Amino acid sequence: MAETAGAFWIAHTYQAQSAADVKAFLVESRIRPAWISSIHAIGSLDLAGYSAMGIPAGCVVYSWPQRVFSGHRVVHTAVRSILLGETEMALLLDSSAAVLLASHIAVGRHNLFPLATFGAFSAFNHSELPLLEKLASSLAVQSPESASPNALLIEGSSLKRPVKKGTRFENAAWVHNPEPDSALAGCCSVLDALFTSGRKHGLAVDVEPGGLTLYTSLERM
Amino acid sequence: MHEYKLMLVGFGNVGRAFARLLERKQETLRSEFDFSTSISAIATGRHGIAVDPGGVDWQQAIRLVEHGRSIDPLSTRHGLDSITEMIRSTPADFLFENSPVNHRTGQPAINYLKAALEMGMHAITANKGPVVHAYSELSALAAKKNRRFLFESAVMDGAPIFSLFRGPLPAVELRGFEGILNSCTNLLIELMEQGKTFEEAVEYGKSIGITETDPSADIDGWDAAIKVAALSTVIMGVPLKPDQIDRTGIRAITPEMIASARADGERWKLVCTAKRADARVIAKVAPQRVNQSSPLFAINGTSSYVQFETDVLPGLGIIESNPGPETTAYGLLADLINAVRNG
Ligand SMILES: NC(=O)c1ccc[n+]([C@@H]2O[C@H](COP(=O)([O-])OP(=O)(O)OC[C@H]3O[C@@H](n4cnc5c(N)ncnc54)[C@H](OP(=O)(O)O)[C@@H]3O)[C@@H](O)[C@H]2O)c1
Repeated sequence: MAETAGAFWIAHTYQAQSAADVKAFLVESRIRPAWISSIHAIGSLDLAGYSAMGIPAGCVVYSWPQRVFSGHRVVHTAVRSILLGETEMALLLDSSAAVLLASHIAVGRHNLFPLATFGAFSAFNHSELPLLEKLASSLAVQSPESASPNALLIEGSSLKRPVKKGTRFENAAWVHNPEPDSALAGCCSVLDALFTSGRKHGLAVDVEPGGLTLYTSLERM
Repeated sequence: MHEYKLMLVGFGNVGRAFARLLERKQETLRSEFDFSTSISAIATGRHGIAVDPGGVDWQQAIRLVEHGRSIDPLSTRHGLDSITEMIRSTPADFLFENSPVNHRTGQPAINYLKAALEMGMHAITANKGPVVHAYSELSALAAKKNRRFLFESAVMDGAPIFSLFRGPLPAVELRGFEGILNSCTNLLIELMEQGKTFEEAVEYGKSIGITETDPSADIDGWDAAIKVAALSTVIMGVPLKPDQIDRTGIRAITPEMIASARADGERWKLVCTAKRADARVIAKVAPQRVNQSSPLFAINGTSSYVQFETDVLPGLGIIESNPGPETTAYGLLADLINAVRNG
């Protein structure tokens, strides 16, 4: 059970192509639509389908454009909004995956069992330094505990494994994202890799075409 | 555990919803945020003032106001000349200002908020008037006094638009926005689509409490214009007043125009737009026909929608479905928690 303030990863699915899929995901995760206080949808959104599902009046829906920026921005926005106390339960969607995040208050109130929490979520411009170097120094500041991840996914970069020896990333298992267009699916894959390996720290990284690098580090609970 | 004393100026739909919400949330505030609240003063326009530093009986105040009676008998202090005097002479940690909006000057709300900040209180409002007419002044005073001036529920009620640009999307440059920001006119147009005349729609709106007795602020586009001005002032950094906005209301929309749009698969909407042009913002509120490819097409009933164009995101849309005073009260509560955490 989560005891301290934070944002928690509650559930995810790779099957989120329609409102019906998402409804089935919520049922399976034992989440009532009425608990959801915000929806972040990347790409087109079937507003009528979601209204019919019983999402409460007053639920704020964010409709993000498709594929012009990293989906990590959406994850970061939702996490920050939970940390600021603005939202208690957020449903994140793109054309491939759905993820449910909750505040510690929602976790306690609805007796939820979080799968993970967020070690760090940040962004930097890596044009002047090699990606891994800049990533290591950013992580060292943001979240020293997750600076040596056990599972790593890097997208949007020409960087290919194996990761250079002597870096903080040399022991990280390289994760495959089955849906390369979906940063949400990328984060889900990192978390699944942690559950498969029984390890704790995972990191999903995405480099936007302009060079801005966004990363989300997950800590399995 | 700290107990914060709150002062409520304006005890209408929003003020009363906020008092009820506070009561429901006391346990959460205690267990999760380590504070509790009490209401030390309530002020209204025509229903009196009640001050009790030990805690006003707000439930009785609701009963009195809802029966059209004065709350003066609940007060332990009498002879206050004005609400400003009440603010200056009653110890409190927060002022919640929810009096009616004054589109032209933002008064008297600005004076209330100023007095509260000067007395060392945090100042929170759902009122757009002070945001548009005194944003810089009140923000500067709050900063000087190390207090917060927050107004999250002033535009789109509980949707955290202002804090989105303070927090999760800092340093993005907002180039413009487009949206439906007045829920009353959106509903009236929808009623006309269902076959009502403009006058019948307004009457029906009044009967279900959506339309004010004097609906001109909504119908003539003033409410939409002041929201556009608030967004421009705060998140685009370009101060605008409602009368600087090119504004046309919905009075001229006829059943024939509705039918003609429908025949072409389109709908009429009261559309708000703002676009940065060098150091200026060009803003407009006007009825427009929108087709099915527009995200505005599907915004029904009293829902609101705004789509932001930023340098990094070509279209972040935010929809709030069928909000009401309760949702506004949630926005006020979020501001309270925010101020306690970061104040
Ligand atoms: N209703 C919503 O859903 C909503 C949503 C977002 C923002 N807001 C904003 O929230 C504010 C309150 O809205 P509301 O719906 O609660 O309005 P309301 O029901 O008309 O209530 C207004 C309250 O302010 C009092 N008042 C009137 N003149 C005053 C004055 N000169 N000084 C101090 N108090 C005065 C009124 O007292 P008397 O009744 O005794 O005159 C009443 O208690 C407005 O600024 C509105 O724009 C409302």
